[in-house]
Amino acid sequence: MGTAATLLGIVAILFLATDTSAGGAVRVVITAFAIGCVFVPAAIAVGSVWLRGHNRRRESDAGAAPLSDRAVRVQQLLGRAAVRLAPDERADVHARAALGDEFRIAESTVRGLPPDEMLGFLWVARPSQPDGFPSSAEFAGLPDRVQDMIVLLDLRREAQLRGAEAALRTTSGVYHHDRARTLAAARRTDNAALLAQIETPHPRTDDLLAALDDSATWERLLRGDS
Amino acid sequence: MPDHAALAASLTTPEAFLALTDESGVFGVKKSAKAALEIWNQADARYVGVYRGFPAPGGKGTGFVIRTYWDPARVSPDLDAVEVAIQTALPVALTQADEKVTWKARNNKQASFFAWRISQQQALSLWFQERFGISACATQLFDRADIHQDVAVVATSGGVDNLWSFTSKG
Repeated sequence: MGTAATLLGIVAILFLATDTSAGGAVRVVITAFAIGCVFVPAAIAVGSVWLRGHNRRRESDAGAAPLSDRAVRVQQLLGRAAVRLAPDERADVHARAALGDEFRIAESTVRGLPPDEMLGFLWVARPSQPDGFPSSAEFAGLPDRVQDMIVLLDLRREAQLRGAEAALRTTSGVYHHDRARTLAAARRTDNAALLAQIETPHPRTDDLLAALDDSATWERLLRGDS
Repeated sequence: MPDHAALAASLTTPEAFLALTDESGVFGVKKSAKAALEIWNQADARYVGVYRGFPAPGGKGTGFVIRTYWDPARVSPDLDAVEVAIQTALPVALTQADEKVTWKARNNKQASFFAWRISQQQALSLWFQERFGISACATQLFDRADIHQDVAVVATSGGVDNLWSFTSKG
């Protein structure tokens, strides 16, 4: 669509240049249209990039208030418009940025999710978060229950990839959270088997995974019952 | 899913390799099959597992393909999450650097079979190992088959994975 806009703009300019019989009002309209075709797609692209950067900066600032619904919606709209109006070479850059927005875990992306979709979203999007996500302002800005969910999902991933011992003892890695944080999340779940596996000196991978897969625990986390 | 263990057990003659390959018409394929059997027999570790090719951004021409491979007996990655990670989080510079390394390290003498040699320490592979427990390399997209293939035959010697992939039949 970006190419189409450019072509229409060129047609309008050629028309203005060659056809002198059109009256004054018609020329004004066509001129405005030509200027629009040239500048509006670029303005939307610039606006989209600026607003995305602005919103992300605000969300990375640990002290700032959460983004307003309007800021989130405008960013989405501008992002989609930028993808549709970009010239073909730039279209995939904008599409990649828009897709990155969709799979970013932060308070503004999580706030609208119903419980049924929350778990799936967190599971699929988590490996795509930037390094250092567990200590980032975006993570800290999430509601406490969502943070707990991420801590437990990450523990499950680590246990599956590296085994329970490594998952609970390691001090670094993409999915690593502090032991204190993990314990706090486990205590809040009221899942005795899970707490036992985390605190025992010799955790077993099968038992840890079974404890983490307890559906009652996840029901409580997702539905928010205390 | 094809029976990976049975496929691994069947790879005892060059004819077995020839029967499985997608590229049976390539010039020199019989000689390559004999060499492939050598590579397979002399490996420190070997398995037949899953291969998935994902188109990745950042390349020119036909673009890049990220060749991922793993042993399904050890790990079952979430392929949706892998797709999302490749499209949004994988740094393009990492892909481009890995493509150069993989291309230089390739096995020139093999027309087919085990053409790709991937060091277990390559940065791209470590990136995927950390997040999904799978190995990976980046190359140009040469063929539609790079995306459709689903079986990986991996022979590891000295910390280098020799990768050959094909499409399972049925």
